[in-house]
Amino acid sequence: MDFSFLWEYILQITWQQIVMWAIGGILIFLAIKKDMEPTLLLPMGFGTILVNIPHSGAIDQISHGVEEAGALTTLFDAGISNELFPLILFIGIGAMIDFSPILTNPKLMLFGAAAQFGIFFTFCLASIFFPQNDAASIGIIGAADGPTAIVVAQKLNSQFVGAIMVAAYSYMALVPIIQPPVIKLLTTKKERMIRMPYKGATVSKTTKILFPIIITIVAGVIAPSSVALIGFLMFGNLIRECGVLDNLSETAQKVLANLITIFLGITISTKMQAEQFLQPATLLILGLGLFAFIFDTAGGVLFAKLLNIFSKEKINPMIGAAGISAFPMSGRVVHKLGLEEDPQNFLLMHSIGVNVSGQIASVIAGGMILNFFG
Amino acid sequence: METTEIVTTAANAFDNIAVEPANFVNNLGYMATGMVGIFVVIGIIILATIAMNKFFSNK
Repeated sequence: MDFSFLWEYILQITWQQIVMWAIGGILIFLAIKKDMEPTLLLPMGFGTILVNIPHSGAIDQISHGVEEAGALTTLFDAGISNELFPLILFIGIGAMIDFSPILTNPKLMLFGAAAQFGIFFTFCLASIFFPQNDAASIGIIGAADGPTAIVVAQKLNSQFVGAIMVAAYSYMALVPIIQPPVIKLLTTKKERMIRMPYKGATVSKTTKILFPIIITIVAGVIAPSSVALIGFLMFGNLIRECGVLDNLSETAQKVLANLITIFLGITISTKMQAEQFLQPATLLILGLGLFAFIFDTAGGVLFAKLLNIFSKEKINPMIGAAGISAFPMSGRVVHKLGLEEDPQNFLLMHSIGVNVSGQIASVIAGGMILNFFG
Repeated sequence: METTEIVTTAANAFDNIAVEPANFVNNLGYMATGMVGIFVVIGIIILATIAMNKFFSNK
């Protein structure tokens, strides 16, 4: 009997594929042991192993001159190359977000805008090494928002979608490590101790219902490319706030979001094949992604400091850092730093408000990028 | 593979990435336009929200 088939494929394993198995293993380890964005990193990690097995049936293969469809490639074509999965996920995210903190204090939205600085600065930096479409896709890592990053990178036809996703989700999980040193470097102890009294106010139901509609129209008219992104996010929020679709809201928040997340993570791993991922460019992208998060944080903090020059009522500049849309980690990081300096300084309501506004601003930033280069 | 060979291969791979420092300056215009654009959109949303809070207050 011929048992050569047993080792035929084993002998075809390359060292690059073994490295990718290790990377997949690291992603799974980080997801399970370190609780780093487990909903995305675990499927991505497993998918990375799946697509790096020689002649993996999970992805398209050419066998004896005939192309055989792989399930993950089919899912990629059906849900990511046309941006469907990330956009549907946005319905779930929109249904999860309570915009009340920014509706009671709309000025907080300015910090969300300022904290998008990292996206554009990183784009300029990345353009030194990459063509504009790739540079813009790398810059959008600073949106700290996975679905936006996927949509922009796909629409701009970037060849580095896999590396961009790994960077975006990893750094989102690392926000509690990345942000504090940047915040401390840019602020004095006195500034970090500034107290901001919270003036609780109620928001009418009409305002909550009109808000997602108005945002969609305003953002859509100025940056038409952002309509799908902002529209799906706000549609989810409208389902939440309308008060007559509680079942749909709950489904969007839980079942829909979870289902799409499972498919999104494992499907994006089709871009984690060794020949695409193991390039020096990947290292560069990971470095630039870190810059994006650092400059987002710096943009928010420095903008708050600038406002303090003109404002009578001082703002704790740390809340500017919560303007990146890594929700709710960034808001919590700022609140925790405030408590470290002064155990009676409760910044949570302000920082969460800024954090929510970052979600809106990052989507608008994605739309701006698409308007420029799409 | 010798260590020197690996280093050379890695260096060659980086060589394939073209370094164009002038692009940084050339693209600063996009940065300025993008940031102004975001502030304009957010500014309009803030004004709309303030107006809504005024017209539809719970009082």
